[in-house]
Amino acid sequence: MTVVGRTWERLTIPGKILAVVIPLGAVLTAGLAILIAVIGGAVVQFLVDNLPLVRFVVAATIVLLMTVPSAFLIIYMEMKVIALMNLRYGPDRVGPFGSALSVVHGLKVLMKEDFTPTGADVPVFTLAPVVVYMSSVMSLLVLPFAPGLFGQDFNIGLLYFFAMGGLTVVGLLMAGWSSFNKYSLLGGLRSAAQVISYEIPLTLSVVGVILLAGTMSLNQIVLGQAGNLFDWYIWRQPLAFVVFFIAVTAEANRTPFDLTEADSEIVAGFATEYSGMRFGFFFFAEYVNVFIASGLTVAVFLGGWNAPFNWPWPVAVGLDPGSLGIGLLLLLTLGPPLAIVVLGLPFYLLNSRIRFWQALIIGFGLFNVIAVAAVLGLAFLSFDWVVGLLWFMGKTYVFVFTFVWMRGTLPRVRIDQLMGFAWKWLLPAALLNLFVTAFAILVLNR
Amino acid sequence: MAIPDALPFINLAWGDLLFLILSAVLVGSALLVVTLRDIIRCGLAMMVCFAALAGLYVLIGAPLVAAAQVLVYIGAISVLVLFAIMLTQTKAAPARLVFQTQALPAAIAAAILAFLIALTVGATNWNAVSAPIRTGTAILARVLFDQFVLPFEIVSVLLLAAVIGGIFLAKREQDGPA
Amino acid sequence: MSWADLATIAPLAAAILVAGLVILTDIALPGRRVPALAVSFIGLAVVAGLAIAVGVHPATAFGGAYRVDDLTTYLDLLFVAVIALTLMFAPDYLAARDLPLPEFAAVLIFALSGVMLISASADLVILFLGLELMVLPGYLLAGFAKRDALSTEGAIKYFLLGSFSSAIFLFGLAFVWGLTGTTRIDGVAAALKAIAGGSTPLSPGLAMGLAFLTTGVAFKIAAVPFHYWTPDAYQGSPTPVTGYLSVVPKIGAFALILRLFVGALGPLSADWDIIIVLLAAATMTLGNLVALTQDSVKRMLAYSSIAHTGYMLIGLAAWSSPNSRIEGLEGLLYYGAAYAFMNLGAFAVIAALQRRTGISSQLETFAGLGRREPLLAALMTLFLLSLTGIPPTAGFFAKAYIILAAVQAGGPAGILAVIAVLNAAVAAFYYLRVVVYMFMRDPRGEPAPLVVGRLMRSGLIVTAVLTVLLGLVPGLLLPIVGNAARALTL
Repeated sequence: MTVVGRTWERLTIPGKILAVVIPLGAVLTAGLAILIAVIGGAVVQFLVDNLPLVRFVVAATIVLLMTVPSAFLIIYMEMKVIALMNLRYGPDRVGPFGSALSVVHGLKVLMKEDFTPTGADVPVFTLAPVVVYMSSVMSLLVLPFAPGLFGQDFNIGLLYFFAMGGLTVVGLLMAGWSSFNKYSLLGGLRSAAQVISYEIPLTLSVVGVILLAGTMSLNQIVLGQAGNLFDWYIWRQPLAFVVFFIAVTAEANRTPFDLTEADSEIVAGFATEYSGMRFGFFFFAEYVNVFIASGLTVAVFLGGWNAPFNWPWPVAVGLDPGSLGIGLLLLLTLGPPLAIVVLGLPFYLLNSRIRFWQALIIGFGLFNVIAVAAVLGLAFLSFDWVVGLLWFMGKTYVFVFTFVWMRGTLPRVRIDQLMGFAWKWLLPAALLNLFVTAFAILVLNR
Repeated sequence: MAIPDALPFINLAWGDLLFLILSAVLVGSALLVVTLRDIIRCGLAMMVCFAALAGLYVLIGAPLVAAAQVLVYIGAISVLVLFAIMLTQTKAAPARLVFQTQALPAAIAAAILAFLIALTVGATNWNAVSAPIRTGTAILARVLFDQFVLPFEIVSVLLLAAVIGGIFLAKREQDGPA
Repeated sequence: MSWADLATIAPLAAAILVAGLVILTDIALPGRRVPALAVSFIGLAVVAGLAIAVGVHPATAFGGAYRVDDLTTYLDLLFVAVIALTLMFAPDYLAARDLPLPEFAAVLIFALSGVMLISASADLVILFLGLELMVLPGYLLAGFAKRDALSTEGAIKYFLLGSFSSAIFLFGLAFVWGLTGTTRIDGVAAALKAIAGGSTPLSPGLAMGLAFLTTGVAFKIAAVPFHYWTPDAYQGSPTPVTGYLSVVPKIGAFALILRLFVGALGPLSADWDIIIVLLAAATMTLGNLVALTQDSVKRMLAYSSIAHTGYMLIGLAAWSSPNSRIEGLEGLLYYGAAYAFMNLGAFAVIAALQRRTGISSQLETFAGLGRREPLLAALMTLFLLSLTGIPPTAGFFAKAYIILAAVQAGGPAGILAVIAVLNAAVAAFYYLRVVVYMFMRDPRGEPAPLVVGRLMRSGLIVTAVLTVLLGLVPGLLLPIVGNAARALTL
């Protein structure tokens, strides 16, 4: 047995893993560095030359990827908030305050059997969740999150948004039909009737805003609300806001309009026969739709990423890291250890029961919190899209909370009440709003 | 190095390639609409057909028309058609289409017509048509409410007449079933 | 849009408003027949008055998309009269079958606004929309007896083929628009004049467009071989609706032909006149021959209306020859009015016979009518004689005028004149068969006595008087028709 062999024998299991991984990593890093050095310039040049295309692909990818965590977040929020409203604990096992439960839910759904009922129309059955999910993701593409932070700024953004949102119903209808189950079919039919009825007041209610803004681009609509709280369109279009919010609730099939999957009446509606990840797609799409509905409400009526008061940003930070020279290197290498020791020392000195290494751990934690806060603060002050994103997300989650709140408190309406309300109340109200807005613009000449 | 304007080797512009793909989808799904035997699938193929048409509209620079196409034709009309079919399906009715007895004559007639149209399109000097015009929403609105305001209003009268007729036909009589 | 524009479209707007008012009346006083009927008649009178008032000064509106001239006024008044007469014939029939009158009246007046739009349109888009607005109420009216399977069947056939032909027509319009780059009728005519100026053959695109337009229009006027929806739709519809369907959509489609083929495609007339000649010959001959074999009077009249389409097409064929431009159009327009009243009257008599449900329109029904109901039998005889073309009725003068125009035109149209005369002789057989049944056959069993309502009776008498007047004193209408024809040719 050679020396190498004997050394290998003596290593622990993590040691063995590391002994393989470290050289491999070193080789790979070196190779990657050489590769970047050789063709990196060309790749960067290629990306720069095709900036619009690259931007679009990146935006689409990000939008597609962000749906999953935001759906997880909203699912957890819904479970927890409704539990608290019901005086229950809600999820409290996985992760702090049960916050990882929805992730586990997702994994569970992923691992379940993907079942297709006998008699189902297989291609249609398979495609239905895809259609539903894709329509949500595609409408997310035009939602402006922050200044300069949106997938694509279409001239006809709002119309595109409704067009894509309207595709959801196709998927639901497909699901309801192909499941070969009368409850599914009922759910699909209900969703078709409901979504088409509410799409009309929904679309009409934003026409007033379009008239005021003079554009259908969501980005421009948000820009038109710049200023303070009172420049938001909700003050000039209160009726439209009410109509819009009700209609958008119905479009997202949320309580009190969740007749498509009314579990006490028709099992789970269109989703009855679905299981596994196909069900997961429906499930995700529903919560993505909640996010989209909230985000759209915020963008159209509540100023989008505009702050409610004149925010003194961006503050120019007049620090050029390059001017520090070698000092930057020293700061980066010596700064963190020094800071950890400095932050940890008080605990070691003030409390005799804490040992020095424990104090160092506390110091490390504190340092990280401070550093993250500092970086965020710097970003917050330096880039207007960060503050914009925070405002947008803040407002959006207020509405997400409202949706959850409504689910926790309101009873479901009956189908005839639902249809009657749309045609007899919402539609005239939306028309009235449109007429009054147009008349006011004509009289005031803007 | 930017992406070349045309497809390498066969020198086909990207727009033309997209046009070919969309047209192929359009024609293919239209054929499916008339050949499939399950009426719901026919309806779904019709939606694909409309979607491809919307793509063509985008390609010729009319995104507004494309969005309206998706919103109205796919999101509303096709859905209502499917809705009506699903709602009126009974066990007595045949689940599959049974009346395609004249498929062959129809196919021959369609092929002849397609040939004639292809001949026509190829042989005609379409002098009035030049480069695609990018129609902005504002321009479109101005044309619609200035030059074509009468047709616009007439369409609403037409729809009103159709609604009255539709309601009359669908209305259940006060006493007894319709 | 200005006030002058609004004043120009006043008759059209009034028609649309009247239709809305009828519906509102029904909402305010549900289930009542008299108020809706009163609103309709007063409204129609207002529309007619406005049409005369506006028609005094020919004008254009909406940047030349809408043009009021003598032709517009003539057609508007004719259609108002036809609609009013239909409304006089319908109530008894509908009441007996428990069908609602207000919807019927409103939809009928919507159709009126459609034909008025056609008769005044100077733009292809408006022309198409007018066509749709005219035929769409027809689909509903054909299926108005919605519990009657035959009515529904007829309505579905009418709807499917009607929509199909509209699509073909629209496709043709798209070709014309694509080649001329404008939708204004005079613009199209000017562009086509430039294209057809040289003796170059028709370009394939234009030929295709012309083929589609001809096909679409031939469907609408029920010309052979595009007629096969007609008998089923006519037979299945409630009888007053059949009368309406055989008159308004047909003459409306002829108005469309005048505006489109004469107005816009006139420069190409050398290319389309032979098609019209062939259509006319086939339509007359086949319509009459098939009518010979029918037992149902409604179905027979359906085929006879196809034959009359052929006679009217002769006028168009005569127009395309330079010898008889005005005469051909005059003949067509005069024939339109004569056909409208006599055909409407014939169907009205059938409707009066069917006042009680369950009475078919078989020939047997007419047996012995001369003794049972002398007035109805006499009127029916008058209408049938007029349809045959026997003096001194409107039908005779109209037929004579149109055949004279064709003779004057010479060429292929001259051959049409011969065919028309032969056809008229054949047609006499089946029209007079009904007369024979009415006066020389005894009824099987003892049919219950008939009650003819006052409205129906006065409508019948008006129709009969008009049929006789147009035959005896054609001078009443000829100057108006002449002005209308000249308005189009200018």
